[in-house]
Amino acid sequence: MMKTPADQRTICCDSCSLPAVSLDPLSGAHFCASHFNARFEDAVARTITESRMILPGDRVAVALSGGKDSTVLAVLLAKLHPDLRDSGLVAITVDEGIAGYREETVGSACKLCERLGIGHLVVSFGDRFGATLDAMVRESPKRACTICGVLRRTLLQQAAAEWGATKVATGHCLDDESETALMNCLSGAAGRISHAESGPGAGVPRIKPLRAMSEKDITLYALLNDIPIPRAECPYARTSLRAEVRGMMGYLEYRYPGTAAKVVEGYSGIAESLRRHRTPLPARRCTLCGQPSSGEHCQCCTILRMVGQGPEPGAPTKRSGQV
Amino acid sequence: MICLKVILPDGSSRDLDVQESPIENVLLSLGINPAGVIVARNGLFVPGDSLVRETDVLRIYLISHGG
Ligand SMILES: [Zn+2]
Ligand SMILES: [Zn+2]
Repeated sequence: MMKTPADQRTICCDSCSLPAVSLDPLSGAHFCASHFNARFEDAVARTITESRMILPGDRVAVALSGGKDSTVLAVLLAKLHPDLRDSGLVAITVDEGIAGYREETVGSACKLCERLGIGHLVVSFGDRFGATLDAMVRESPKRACTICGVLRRTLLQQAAAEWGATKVATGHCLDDESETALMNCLSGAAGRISHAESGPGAGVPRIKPLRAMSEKDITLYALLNDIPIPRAECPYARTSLRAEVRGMMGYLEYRYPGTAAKVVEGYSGIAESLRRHRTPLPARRCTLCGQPSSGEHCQCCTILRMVGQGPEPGAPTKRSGQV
Repeated sequence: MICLKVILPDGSSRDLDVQESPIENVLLSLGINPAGVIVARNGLFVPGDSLVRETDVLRIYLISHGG
């Protein structure tokens, strides 16, 4: 419903008379800044509660890259779960060693944690794996996202386990989830569709409190609440299939609002039923590092050997400021 | 001539000769996917179905990707 106050063009919030800042393309509803914020925070709180993501006694490690999604996630976890603030919430930043990009994002991650008053651990590829991502992929930058994804996950898990985390919260949003779903379909890897991210042997369970939120709403939330968003984008992001899938999904979302949510919903249903019909693989361990693995070597060790860095047993986690 | 001033995500600006029109049309004419940006009209964030006219300044914020 559109009311027409002073400036005839001003569109008002559906819930009050203040000027709207956002339109939900699915319902056609308009929201002012405070109703947008309230709705956004309620939706994240609902995702957390409905999926029992955070329970009393949990120790949550939030993966803080310093980018927009993880920054908003850290702010919201501190806001929605003040009970965690004392010693139940820590941020972990993985410094992959990407020149011209990581300096800014690591810096803004440090500042944010100070502002929120939460602990902060910085762990780096250089310290743990003996080389930066830049050095690892010098000859084949196209593989950067694959290599980085596996190594970052491993390092995050190690650091979270060392801190005593019972949950690892990541900033994956609706757009990420729909892109991943589509990419797994495009690559024809049915095994990857049924692959469970959590479960016995998968390490500290992961939670994704922003999984139902769009990047657009996350960005607007950050802008409206003066949450600093670094401008730098990862220089390797452009080289990936994900970048093309993102463009495609962006177009579909514009033409047919709600597409991303439907892709994720349908994909989850398929993954769930595939999992039910799957014979579980015998439990194996990587012969190099001893971590649970589907083959002789785990993904992390396979990649480290490929890039010429032998697997090393984890060195102690460096604290922020000691980097 | 008075033109609509559009500030693009990279900070550069374009002057467009438009009559009153929906922001969506302005974005499409610039080859920008309206679902991929947030817009501010004269310094205030506005929903994508708002109108702009030649005396306005329209700032376009790209939705940044990644973690
Ligand atoms: Zn309102
Ligand atoms: Zn291994």
